[in-house]
Amino acid sequence: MAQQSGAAVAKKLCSSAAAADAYTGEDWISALPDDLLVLILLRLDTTAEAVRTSVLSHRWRPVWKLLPELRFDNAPDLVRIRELIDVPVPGPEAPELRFMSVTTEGADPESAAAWLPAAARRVTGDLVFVNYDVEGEAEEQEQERGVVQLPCFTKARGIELDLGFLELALPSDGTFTRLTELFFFRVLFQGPCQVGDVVSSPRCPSLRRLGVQVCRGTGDGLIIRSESLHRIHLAHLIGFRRLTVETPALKRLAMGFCLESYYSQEDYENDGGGGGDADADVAAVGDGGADDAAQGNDNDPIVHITAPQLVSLGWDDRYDPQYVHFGNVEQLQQLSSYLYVYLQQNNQLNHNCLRLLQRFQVIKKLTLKLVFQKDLAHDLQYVMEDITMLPKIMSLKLRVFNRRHAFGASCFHLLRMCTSIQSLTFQFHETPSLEILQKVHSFSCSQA
Amino acid sequence: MASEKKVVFLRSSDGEAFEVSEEVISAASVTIKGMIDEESPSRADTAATTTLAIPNVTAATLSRVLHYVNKHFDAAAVVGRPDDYIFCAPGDEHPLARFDDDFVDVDNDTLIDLVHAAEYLHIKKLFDLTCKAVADKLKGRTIDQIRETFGIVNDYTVEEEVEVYRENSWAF
Repeated sequence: MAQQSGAAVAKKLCSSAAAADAYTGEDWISALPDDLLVLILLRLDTTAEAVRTSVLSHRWRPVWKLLPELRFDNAPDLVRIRELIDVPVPGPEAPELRFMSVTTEGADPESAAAWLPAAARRVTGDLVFVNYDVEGEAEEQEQERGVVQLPCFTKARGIELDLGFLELALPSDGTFTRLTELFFFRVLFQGPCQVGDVVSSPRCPSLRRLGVQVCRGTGDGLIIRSESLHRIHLAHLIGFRRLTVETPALKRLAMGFCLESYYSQEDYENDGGGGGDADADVAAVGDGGADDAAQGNDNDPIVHITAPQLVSLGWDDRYDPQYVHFGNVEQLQQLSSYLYVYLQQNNQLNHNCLRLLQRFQVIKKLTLKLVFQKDLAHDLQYVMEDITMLPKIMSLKLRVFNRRHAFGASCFHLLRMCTSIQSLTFQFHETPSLEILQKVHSFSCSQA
Repeated sequence: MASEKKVVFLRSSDGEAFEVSEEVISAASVTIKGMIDEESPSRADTAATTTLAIPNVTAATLSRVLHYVNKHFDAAAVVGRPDDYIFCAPGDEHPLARFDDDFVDVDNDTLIDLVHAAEYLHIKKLFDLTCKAVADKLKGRTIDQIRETFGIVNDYTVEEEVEVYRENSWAF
């Protein structure tokens, strides 16, 4: 019964594929309508697999072009991608794309830029572009690099760019009308258009989530004025000193190791192999020590954050109420920061966290990262005793990066001050993420 | 409210009728739920059970579909409800994963009938499952193997075929 039905369907639909006559009743798959074939091809792992079916027969040749999602993994030729997706206007032959991802290795700026305008015309959903490093090549290319021009994606919902430190110029006009999520990772921004200008309300009126991480060239800072932003995550922005955030709807803000980059750009560039760790260490100590003495120093960062709806704040960065100003953040319920358990004498890194904790009387949920150095060298001192007070806390989460050191005393020291907590969470971490963090900044206290 | 036992009959294209819980089939099939909703006013005055004609699906396929539907959508019959991952430890297979695998481990003709039935009856999960099963038959096979599997005739001339290969060489 079932077989007869299959045959009937195939027979009925097979008329278009004349050459399949000999197999009538067998080749039901070619007889399927385009939309069904597209749904089947969508369930393959990669777009390349779908494209390969174009060799099967005439029937199959145009089908993959109808896919609304494209995934080009390890794409060797980005110029070719432009040819594959480029149409003046999306239509039945080449529909709008609800997802497009391209991953490649060691792309040069010209080819990285080649396909973006075509993508901007077709992507209505999410665009993901990842340019992986090629081992050892990064520095050679440094000299001759051009700039990737980002077109204005007027229709896309989300954009995620990991450029592997290619230079990127943002479009100086146009509105990212529908964009709700925007993430930059490993991008070297080039002027003239400022990141803050692009992500603020006039040009990104729908943006809800913004991430800018491990990037350089944000000028000496960011000015973000957005009616729509709900979440901002800034981390590892080299050379970053000024931040203004005016976001009436913002709920969550995370900031890590932006103001805390003690490096000039030259230091950063010369520090690929990690040989500069010791210097960085000294610089960190020096800078920390200078905080109290040198007030109004030109090098001090200036941060103004106005976010009356802010619920969650993650602050793994320098904090001093003299230059970091939180306007009206009384809605805040969750706070996250980090502490070193051991530091050199006079190293005042923990003061950032301690001052921040003093800023709030009550914190519903506090998350503290307790960081241990790998080697507890003789010049390191146990500094947890410096912490003498915590805000009133309902819920405490301790994320312990203990690197096999005993962590009991440090945790108990904190717990002793939490007399009203109702829940306690411990999380123990291997250190890879910390290793990366330290690699990025070559910021380490463990170098003796 | 509707009593638990309320059932409908579905009549296949070849005239066989199948009994199924109205609640279960309504949860599974958008198409049949629509039919039932349309029938509702007239049913109120009669105690007779409804019989719905499913003209596009044969008895063989319909019985398979209902087997799937009863497994996946009958809350009472399922241990750990289908979408209730809370009952599964992380890393556990979905409780019905094995059932699903066996369900689509069928010959090509049966599979295509299930695709069409799932599409017509608008049973999304079954449609996803069957499309995935067809896709799995394409995965990891050479062009010749795919042609063989599905009986696809290569109607390209040699020159054309070379051209298509060249055009898409990046994908190979």
